[in-house]
Amino acid sequence: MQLLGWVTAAAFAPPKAALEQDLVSGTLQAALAEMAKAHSLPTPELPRTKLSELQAVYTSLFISNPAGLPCPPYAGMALDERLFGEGFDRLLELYRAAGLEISPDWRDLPDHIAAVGEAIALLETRPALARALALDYLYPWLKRYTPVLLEADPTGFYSTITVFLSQVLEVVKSETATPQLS
Amino acid sequence: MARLGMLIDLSACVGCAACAVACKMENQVPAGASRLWIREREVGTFPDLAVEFRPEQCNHCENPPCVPVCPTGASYQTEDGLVKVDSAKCIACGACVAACPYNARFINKNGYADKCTFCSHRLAKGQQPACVETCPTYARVFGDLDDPNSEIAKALKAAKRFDVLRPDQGTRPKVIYLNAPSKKGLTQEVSNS
Amino acid sequence: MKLPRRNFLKLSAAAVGAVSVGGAVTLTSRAKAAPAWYTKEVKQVFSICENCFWRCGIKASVVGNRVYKVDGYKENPKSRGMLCPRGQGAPAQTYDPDRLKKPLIRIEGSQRGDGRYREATWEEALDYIAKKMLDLKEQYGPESIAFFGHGTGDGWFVDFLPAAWGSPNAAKPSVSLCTAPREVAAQYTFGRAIGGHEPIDWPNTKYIVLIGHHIGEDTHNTQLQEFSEARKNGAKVVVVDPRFSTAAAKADRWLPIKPGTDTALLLAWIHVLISEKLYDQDYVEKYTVGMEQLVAHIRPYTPEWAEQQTEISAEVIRQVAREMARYRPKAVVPPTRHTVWYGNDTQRMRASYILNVLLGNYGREGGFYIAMPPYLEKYPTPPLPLEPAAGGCSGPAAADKEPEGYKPRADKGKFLAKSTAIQELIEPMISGQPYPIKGLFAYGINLFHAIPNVPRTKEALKKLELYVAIDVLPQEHVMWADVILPEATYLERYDDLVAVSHKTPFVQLRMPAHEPLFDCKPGWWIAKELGKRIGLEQFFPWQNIEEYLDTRLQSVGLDLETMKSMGTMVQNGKPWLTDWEKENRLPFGTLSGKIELYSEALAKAGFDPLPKYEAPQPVPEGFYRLLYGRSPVHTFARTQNNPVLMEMEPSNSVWLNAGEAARLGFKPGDYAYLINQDGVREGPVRVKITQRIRKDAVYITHGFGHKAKGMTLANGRGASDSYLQTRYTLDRISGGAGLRNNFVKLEKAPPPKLKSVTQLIKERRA
Repeated sequence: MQLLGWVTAAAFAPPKAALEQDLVSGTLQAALAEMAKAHSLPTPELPRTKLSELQAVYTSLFISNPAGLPCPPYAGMALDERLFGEGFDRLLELYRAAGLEISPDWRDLPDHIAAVGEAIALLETRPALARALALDYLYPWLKRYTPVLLEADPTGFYSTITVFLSQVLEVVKSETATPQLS
Repeated sequence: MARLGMLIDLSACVGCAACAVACKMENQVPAGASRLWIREREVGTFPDLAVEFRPEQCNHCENPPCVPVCPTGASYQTEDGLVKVDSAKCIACGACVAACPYNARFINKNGYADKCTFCSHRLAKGQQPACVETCPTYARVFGDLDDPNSEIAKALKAAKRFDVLRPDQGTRPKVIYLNAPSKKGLTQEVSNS
Repeated sequence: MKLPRRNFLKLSAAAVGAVSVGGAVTLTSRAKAAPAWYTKEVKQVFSICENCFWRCGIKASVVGNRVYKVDGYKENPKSRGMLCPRGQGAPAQTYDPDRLKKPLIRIEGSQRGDGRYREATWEEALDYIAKKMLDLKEQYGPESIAFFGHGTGDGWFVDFLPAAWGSPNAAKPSVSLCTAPREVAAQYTFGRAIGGHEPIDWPNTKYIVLIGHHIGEDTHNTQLQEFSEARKNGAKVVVVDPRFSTAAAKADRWLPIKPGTDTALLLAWIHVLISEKLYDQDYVEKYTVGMEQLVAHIRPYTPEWAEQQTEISAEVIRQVAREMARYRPKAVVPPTRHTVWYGNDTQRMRASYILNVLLGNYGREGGFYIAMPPYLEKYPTPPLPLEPAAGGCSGPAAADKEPEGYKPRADKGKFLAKSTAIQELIEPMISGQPYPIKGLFAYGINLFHAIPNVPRTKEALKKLELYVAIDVLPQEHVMWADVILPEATYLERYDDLVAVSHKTPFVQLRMPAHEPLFDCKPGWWIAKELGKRIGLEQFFPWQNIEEYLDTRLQSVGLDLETMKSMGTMVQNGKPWLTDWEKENRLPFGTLSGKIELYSEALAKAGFDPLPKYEAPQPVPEGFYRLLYGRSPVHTFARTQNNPVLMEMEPSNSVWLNAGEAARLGFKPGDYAYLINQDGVREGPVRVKITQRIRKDAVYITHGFGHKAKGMTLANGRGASDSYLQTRYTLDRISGGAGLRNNFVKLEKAPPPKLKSVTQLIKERRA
């Protein structure tokens, strides 16, 4: 779960020098490879994209778009179809219960996917909480917006990641599902 | 007990929808659904014209067809004349939605029948329904029809003309329209919201 | 592997929460109906609505970081406890996922209009702007930067900052695209403004004549309330309009006038009042000059002559004039607001005021009251180099002559009035005449839906060296800017105090309901931070907005804390002539000190001192005159992404006379393209086949036909009147841009393939 959280946080925060570093050093690709191995999935290939290209695409997918914001990066949008809905409230409860606080430097909403990703990574010592976060808050967003990204992301960077993360979570989900009594 | 009702003066109403938007916000009515909506119809030929701006909502009928059809008792009537839904008991079967001749009800996606409640939560605090409070043309009056000293009873008494929707249905609606602009009364086509 | 940390959250030291999440249990069980907001802890704060320019005082009901409801409050003379639909629906904008969230800088090498941006910090964005501004000042002078805008924050960006910076090219669309003719005419007649809160004593009036006045569709809250009160009190209403508007539906008489001939009607009414000696002779004697000239001038303008122009019978014209006289002085012809119709509008307004004066209603109950501004001192700053040039709802400002060392405004000489005309400041951006304008700030104004001749505006934007947009939504023009600064919405910020000239002048406070979401900042902060970087630090001596407001409030014996608990402070006014006469004064700021029926000042400037009639441009064969107006649930082009308001009205339609529809073969449910005289095509737009409009005109409500796909819900719906207004007729007195000389023909169109608004709200994408 920690790797999954880290990859989510790294990929869905606004692309800056830190992400460039992760790409150039191969850290992000390596993380994906390790996750793929752990869940018996094929390793996804991240397309090579310049930082400036990623920045432009990130803005148009997740911040502001003259053609309509295709993927508001908030867990609440997938759960409630709007911001500040009931899913949002439940997530805040979960953060509180887990002892997590939002840093005042984080100038965005607490249910931003990057923040959810970091929360998952931080809860290494509480796997049940991490799993709940991943399955109940991250996964619905991935499921809802992956088809949109496949169409709207010209670089393929973000869609590759969301497709892969969805696959990982589907494996996780099936592993923890209660076996049916025949 | 009171007999709560609402007057809407069609000679004042300009169809601005302040009431409908206030209702949406106050009651967090989900997208795609309405507890309150506006109809606009023109009558006559150039240049002898009239326009009817008509808000519609649940009429909190005295004889509500939506109550007896409810299989669980979720749909009920209070002593002071409000028709309400207990969401915990409702199974969202839709019978009441079909039974209402005014299309006033809808199924809330959280699994229960929903509609105008005359803002009972506001009445409990001594406030007016949100639609009444916000109306900038003073077109709405709410109160106890049985209290002769109430504003609503006096206004109804003084009215030259009043009408209700679909009087033929025997529902005895308590939303009453004053001063319909057409001599023939309310344009009778009911909303298809 | 060692993973580099991202730090958005942190583990709190006081961790250890007991949370009953074990195994794969998911947190899904909840009651069907989640507890409603009003069952939680609700805080209420006073604020001011921003969904139109009426600016009603509101109470916002807040739970945590969310405003669920806004309402009027009784003590506020604008809302008086009620709100219009736009006010009620406005909070939805604050929680719109499409809203601007972070400062954005256009990616190097991309074109304006491509929409390619990267996120930036405020420091970086402001430094970028400041550097460019200083470069432009060095190369071209401070006047090379224009400042356009409207909204409560326009005080910072369109009045204060340009005056401090040294640019006279500051403009508000509300002047030359709206009120300029009525304000300039009022200055030349009464020596007073009309003002943003029209000073009509509705509750006491007995006879109301509305000329092209769309009360009920234009939902200026107090006006609608008071108009309704007047009717309840038995006032008679006459509506003059080519269209059977909502107001006409409430009228005792509807005069379906030929478009563009209103001045003829006004002159004929003046004629009847004079020839039948029905006007208030004492009033005219006591308070006016120029009656002799008016009597001579009016002779040819008989009702019979007017019938030829207006297509209203001479008999009806006489009847209405006599009725007006019967009820005077409690008979009034309100000045309306958007008066830029045909390019000769100042003179039409002069005729309207002259008529009101003959009825003796100016400064009297049932007519116009005399609005006074509240007493309130400015925050002390060093003197500004320039006078603010933009004017506003209260009309012309600015000095006659620019101070030493500063250039005059770039539209000087094109018209008589002193304040800027926004549409006349576009040309210098293209031609460099009379001098180059190379930079532009756009605060809140919708450049492509406000200023006519949109292709010219786009051409101008491409030529700029700096274009900054400060806004809350990704409107089409915003996504052309070099730097986009996301302002906090009205519910998330303080603003300067709003002072309203009125019968009972008052001051209103806006305070935030919660902290700004995302990385948005209030306008005052942006202005101050920018000011610091461009050498204007001395003009922002206050530390923060609280100090600024507190100091201003002390000048009226209050402080910020007290004002927060009041919301509005009401003062005494001097609404009637008798109030002034008690002090041996008159309120008229004209040279003569009286109401000038005959305007010497206009004559001196080379214009008609008394209004004459000018026939409107004829409608070309096969075309209709394009008329436009308002929808009660929308405000200009700014609310078409508001999900609550868009559910009420997802699109506009084109009103077409039923006889014409039959002739052209349109049936109910059909769609049409509107093609104007220059071949510009808008639509498809639904055709509203109606009896409620004449055969020579069509009508659409303003604000639709959005091309910005960032306006997820509005994109592609309906037709834009602004895009069809490729021509305008300049009023050479006021600088107003007459917009009603555009003509369209209709062609059948296929229905647009659009998802329903509801579906889009649920999907939340284009």
